Amino acid sequence: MKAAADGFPIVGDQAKELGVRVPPNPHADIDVDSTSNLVVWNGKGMSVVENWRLLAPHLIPVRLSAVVPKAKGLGNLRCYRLGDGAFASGFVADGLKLVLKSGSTMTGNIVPITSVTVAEFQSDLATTRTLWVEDET
Amino acid sequence: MNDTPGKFFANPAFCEYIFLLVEIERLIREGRNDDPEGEAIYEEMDGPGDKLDDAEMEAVGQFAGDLTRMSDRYRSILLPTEKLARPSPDTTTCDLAPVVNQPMNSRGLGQTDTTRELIP
Repeated sequence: MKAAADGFPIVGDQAKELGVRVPPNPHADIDVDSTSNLVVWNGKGMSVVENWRLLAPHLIPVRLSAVVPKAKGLGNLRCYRLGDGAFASGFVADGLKLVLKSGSTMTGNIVPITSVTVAEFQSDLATTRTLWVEDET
Repeated sequence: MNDTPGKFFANPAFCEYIFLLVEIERLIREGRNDDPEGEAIYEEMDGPGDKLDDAEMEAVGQFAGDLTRMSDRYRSILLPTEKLARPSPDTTTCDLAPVVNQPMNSRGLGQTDTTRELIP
């Protein structure tokens, strides 16, 4: 994710920020019910992986290519870890849970625990900001 | 790498990601990956990147690693020097012919090296 001056992730609704991209962004991370304006509860959310080394090449800063040769991402990105628990479906933080992607044990999405508005979901994600620890080891 | 229907080069998302990876590699080598063109490519990579399964993600990771480990000389022979044509999203085919043909073109121009010279 992009880092703010204080070292924690930048909160926002753009790529590589702590939050989700919402429609009409062509790369939206979630679906939103046009009638209720609630986040559709379909497993979509903020993508995460078990270990930063498993990220796609374009998400790992290229400055780490000596450690992980596939790294091709923007040099100012940072890799963060949230908590020390097992990477398994379940509670993550207030209002949030991890759902593993179909057929994978190493990739997942952070999604709302209950039906919420986009603003509530973004707020819950933003609340975790200081819980993210830089981890590029 | 075994191709199965709808996977790897039969998966338009896989082809598009490879295409964008080659594009971003070109910009990295030019020191321009963090300019607006590069940022646009990075954002575009999110789309196909989300549609790759674990095996396809591992494959693109290995390809990206190969790009990093290549010697500059080998890279100049293997990779196209001009921007590739974007693969069509309407088909499951992937025209990476410029990448495939580049070594042959280089050979025709007398730009070949011995195998030892190509090893980083």
